Amino acid sequence: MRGGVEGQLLQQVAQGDRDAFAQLYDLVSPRVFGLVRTVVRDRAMAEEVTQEVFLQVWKQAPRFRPDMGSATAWISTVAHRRAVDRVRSEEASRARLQRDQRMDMTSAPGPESAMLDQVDRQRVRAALAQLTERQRRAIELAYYGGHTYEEVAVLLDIPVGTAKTRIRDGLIRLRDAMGVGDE
Amino acid sequence: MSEDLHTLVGVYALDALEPLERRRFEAHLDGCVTCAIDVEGLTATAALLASAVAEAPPAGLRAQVLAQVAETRQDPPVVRPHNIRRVSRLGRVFMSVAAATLLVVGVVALTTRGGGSSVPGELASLVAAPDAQLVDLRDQSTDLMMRVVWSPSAGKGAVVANGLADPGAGHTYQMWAIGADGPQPAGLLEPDDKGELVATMDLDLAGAAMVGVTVEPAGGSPKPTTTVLASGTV
Repeated sequence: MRGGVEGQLLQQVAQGDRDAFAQLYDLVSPRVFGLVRTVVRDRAMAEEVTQEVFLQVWKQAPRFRPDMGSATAWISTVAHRRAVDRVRSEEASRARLQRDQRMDMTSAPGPESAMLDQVDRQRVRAALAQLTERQRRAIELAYYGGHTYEEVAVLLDIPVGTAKTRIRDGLIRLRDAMGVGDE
Repeated sequence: MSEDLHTLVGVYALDALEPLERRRFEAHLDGCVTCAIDVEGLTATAALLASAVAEAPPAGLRAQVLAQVAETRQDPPVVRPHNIRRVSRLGRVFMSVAAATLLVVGVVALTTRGGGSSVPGELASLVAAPDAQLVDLRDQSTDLMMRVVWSPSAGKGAVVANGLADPGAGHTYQMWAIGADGPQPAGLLEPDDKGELVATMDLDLAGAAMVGVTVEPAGGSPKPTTTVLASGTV
């Protein structure tokens, strides 16, 4: 697993190793930047947030423990949380709702992504294909769109309770399809 | 209230909560073993979604980031003598049924927990059994969450649960294997004073379609005498 390399690098980063940090940046920056840009849309804002994410990773690396999950999962979580917080504070919720009502999130991923991530990408795409159309849409709106589940409910015109369980059930199915935890 | 919180595991993993609700759920997560287990797996799943949209950042960004880092002090490490750490490791034991390396971590976590002396070793071998099966039990109206691991070949099972509130004097929790012949006794559950339980036991779920839990008079009953609190499909 590549996760192992990233985990080792993060441990070195925790000791203040800047070379290890540069290597870690090279490995995970496509995922971080791609995710942030997907959520915030605006490229300049995505660059800013990506910078914040890596600064946070650097600062908090000494506090990372392997029992919190894998290094890549942690970094992606930091990136997603920051992107979501930024986009929710910057952009009026109504404007985003109107935008995403028109937009099909599945077409959002850009074609120029790094080769390194091709395997994971195919794995994720295959797993997403195993969801029902409704589950997939709800998860994409929440994760890639950065919407709260209440917003997802509005967008899909379903009760909030349904949005919650649809997201949970879809994510559980994704987890099982991708074999998370069996590695 | 609490049933709502349990269903938030998915939206929490996707950051699809408003800040206030996020904090409420995190407070809940500190004390809820099963939610912590789910959140760990679902957060890792969400993180994989990031790789589907990977995109090379602009070349200039790297130098900017490295320059900033050169001037930034790192936070000191913190030692958190915290619940979640144990929970999280415990979670791994149950999530990665076949991962022997992680098992060691889980066993250490269980040992430090100060539980029954024979539990860690037995639990480890059970979870590692190639035929190990998981059953999740949830109760929609209380905090009760339970996960059962069963190995048919070993004829044994393990139970991890929380939210098993004090059943009252002279009462006990009893587990049932529910099949075509109706509920069969599958063992008594004795949680600690925080309502948590980690235990292994002889277990046969071969004919069972469901696992259920009821409160019974101390010593258990041959058939359930109260309604099923929680159940899960085998």
